[in-house]
Amino acid sequence: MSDSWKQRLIDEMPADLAREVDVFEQQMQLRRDSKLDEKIFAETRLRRGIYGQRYDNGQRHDGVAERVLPFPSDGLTKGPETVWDAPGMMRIKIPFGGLTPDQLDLLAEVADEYSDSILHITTRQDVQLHYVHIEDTPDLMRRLASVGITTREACGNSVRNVTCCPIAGVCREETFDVTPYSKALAYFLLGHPDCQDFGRKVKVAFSGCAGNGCGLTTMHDLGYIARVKEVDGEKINGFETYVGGGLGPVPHMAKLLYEFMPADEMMPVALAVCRVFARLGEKQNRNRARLKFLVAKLGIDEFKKLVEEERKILPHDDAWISWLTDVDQYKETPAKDGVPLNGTAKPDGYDAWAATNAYQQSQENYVTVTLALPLGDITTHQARELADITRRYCGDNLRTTVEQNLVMRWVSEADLVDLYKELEAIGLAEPGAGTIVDITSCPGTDTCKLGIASSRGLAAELRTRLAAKNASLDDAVKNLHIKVSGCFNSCGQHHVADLGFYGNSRNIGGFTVPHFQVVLGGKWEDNGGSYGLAIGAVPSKRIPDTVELITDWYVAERQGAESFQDFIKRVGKKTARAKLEPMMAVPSHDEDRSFYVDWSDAREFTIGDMGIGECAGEVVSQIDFDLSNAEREVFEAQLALDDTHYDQAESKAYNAMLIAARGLVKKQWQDVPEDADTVVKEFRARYYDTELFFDKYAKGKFAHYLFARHDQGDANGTAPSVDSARVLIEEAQLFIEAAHACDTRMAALPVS
Amino acid sequence: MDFQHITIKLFAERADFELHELVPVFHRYIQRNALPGVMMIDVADYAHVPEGPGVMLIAHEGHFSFDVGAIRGDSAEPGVVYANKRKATGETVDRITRSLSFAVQLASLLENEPELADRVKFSTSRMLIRFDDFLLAGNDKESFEAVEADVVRALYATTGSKSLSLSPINNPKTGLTVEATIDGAPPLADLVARITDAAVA
Repeated sequence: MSDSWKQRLIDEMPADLAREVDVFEQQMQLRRDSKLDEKIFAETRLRRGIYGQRYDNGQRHDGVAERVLPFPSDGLTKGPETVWDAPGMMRIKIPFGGLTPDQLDLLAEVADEYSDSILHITTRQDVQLHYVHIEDTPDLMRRLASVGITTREACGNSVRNVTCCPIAGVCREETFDVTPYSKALAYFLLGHPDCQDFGRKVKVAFSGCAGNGCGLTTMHDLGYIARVKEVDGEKINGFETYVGGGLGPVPHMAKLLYEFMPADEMMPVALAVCRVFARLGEKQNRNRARLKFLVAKLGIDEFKKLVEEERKILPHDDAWISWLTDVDQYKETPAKDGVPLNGTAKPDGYDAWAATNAYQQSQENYVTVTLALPLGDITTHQARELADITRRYCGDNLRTTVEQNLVMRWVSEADLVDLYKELEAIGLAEPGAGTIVDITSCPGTDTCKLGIASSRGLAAELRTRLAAKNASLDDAVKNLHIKVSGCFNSCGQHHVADLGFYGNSRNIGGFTVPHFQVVLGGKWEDNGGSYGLAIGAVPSKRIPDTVELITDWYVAERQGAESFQDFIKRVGKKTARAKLEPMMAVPSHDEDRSFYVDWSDAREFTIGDMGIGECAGEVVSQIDFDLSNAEREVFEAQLALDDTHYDQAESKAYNAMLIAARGLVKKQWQDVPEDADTVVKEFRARYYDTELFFDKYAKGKFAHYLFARHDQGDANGTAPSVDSARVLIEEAQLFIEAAHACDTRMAALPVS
Repeated sequence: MDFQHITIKLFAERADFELHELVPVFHRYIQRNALPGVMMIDVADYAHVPEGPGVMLIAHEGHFSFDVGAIRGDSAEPGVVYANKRKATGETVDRITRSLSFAVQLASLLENEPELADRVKFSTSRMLIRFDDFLLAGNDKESFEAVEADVVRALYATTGSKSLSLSPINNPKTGLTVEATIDGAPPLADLVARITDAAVA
């Protein structure tokens, strides 16, 4: 039996994913040896989906006092104020939400071994594992790689998971199936050099239609809505394209970039947007660094102009088209033929479940079934059973959703009753998907460092109460959306909920009391069509009663078939606030201590456990990354030297110098090719001939190490030896140091 | 074999309380440092998940929980769980004993918890042992035979029983899972004392 996952899975991991994990493992070692700056390491691990969790600064208020958590890390950190041994979170990207049974089985395995036996579905179709130790992450990534999953760029200042309507391809109202386009763009942008220098994250979404718009494109940095245009008698697939949307503390609606952009322009335009953002986006003030602020600052017309100028100078890449070659052939294969529902006897609960959880697909006799997961959580046992059920009923066709659920596509109608029974047996047949009981919540104070109040605790309480009275709820109320965020950063997407809540706190009589800001009248439909109004802050423990108050009010005073959004708009913020006023009162601590303790907690409430969030990543410049990569390459050269692989040691030492040199050239010419001849030529012209690389004492000495090795090439007949390899490694290290010094000198120069 | 992720579950004979009642109880255990030698971090409430981890007490070394089915044999039953997550030392017998020791400690705390006043009781004659080291062992006959002797030794030494039987729980997808039935197992308080005395010795 293999003695490591690396060995066991060597033939099962795609080579590029395997290499990525090896590189990260080396970076972990460099960090342990204090040879990699903690800030760079933090951004490095974030770009591999390895996130911090609450209390990872080594402190926690236990309800009595602030305590130190004595992790055995001996001062080692995995980022600023982030203790090495503190448990973290692993975010696993699931592009367009597409999950197979094999992947689900593997996720269950790693959740049992490294986490808490729970898979959590996020509001961006990812899967998260909590309480994961960083030492376990390389093997975790290898095992994910063996089923085709990468965690690369799940977090950090990168293009995050590309999301997509979960019923794309089976939707009755879609223009066309956006699945293959979302998949193509996701993999095209993954690790793309033009997407490595952002000041903040970039979020991308696809929608098959504008009406229901489950893709929520209006709130994304880049949003695509399927459109077809007839050109010269031929129907061309394309997208209504939006930029600059985003929620966060202050939501911005995305602006229309193109009414129709042909699909074959999708990649280059996305790149052009990314390059403009990388070049002009804010990088110092993290609070203003999202793309939405740049678009707002420039205005959409100017932004579009810049994008088009960038588009014109983009070096052509065949990948723009090659990634789209198979989109027309993309299809999912059902496990069974679609057969109408026959007269099978329906068990108790079936009708209520089918009414909300079964969606008639555009394909005759097929249904998409939603599994409404409580707070997005599914146990490993459920996941394993579901994997087998999925294989039997729908083949490989599972998707995660931004409502933190799972959908099973291509279920034959005739199988619905049997499927219901099987799902019920494993606790996955809760009715109410997409209704008021199907509440979305971010992790909040359970695990997030930025959480102010317990979003999950509140969501669990609301869910319990609303499920209990579901049968008696007015139909107008049943289909309202409730979304809860633990703070103003909107990871729970409260802005697009009918009833949205985000955590905050108030000082009452010297005590800090958890509250939620009530945000009413947001619109889920029309791709997140409008954002709600903030009405006022209500103590956390009164929110369930507040929900009842608001919904009863709506039912009593709506006009005809008035939507909740229209109702709130009509009554206005002032009236709504007056309605909520009685709910805002907080009893004294002596009268009712429960108000001073948050949901699902027992400790007296405090905001002292908040930490520095990692969602903003660390701003690490491209040159910092390049020089870090050069250092890693030198480290590998040393390893090769230790293993007496002298030719490999020399090759890596030389390559390290090329990486550093190219990094410097890229500061002036972003698209410098990678071949050694061009890199050396450009480095000589831009940095040596100009003496930019010279330092006061050594002048251009270290540049000669690169030139000499490059000129030597492979023509030298002398075989590499331990001495020649060692010398070259030392020269490479000196070259990299000189590159660092050069960068520092350039940063200190006045900006012209 | 270098098993690290050894999980022990002690089944509850009686559990007449709501899961949410454990949240303040576990928070108090953290305040009081009620589990010596354990670096407790936080409480995780999964009561909303059917047959799930229930309420968890997350520690650096591993995860404690009052579990309602996440760790299961052929079916979901409530019980106290300790799942080791960090490096364990010693022989496999020592590691099994260590995980058992932690599970027994939590069970004892709960049985003696005034807030739960006689509403909870744990069996010592039946328990589940699971090895979630998928690189080392699948849930198969060969793996079971490889650990059987160590499990028996650990349970004989800790419980003082002279007779026990082990039944593998055959689900090829999960970690190696074994259910142990122990004849003449001591009551929980005595088991705690035996394990503590053995540790001191």
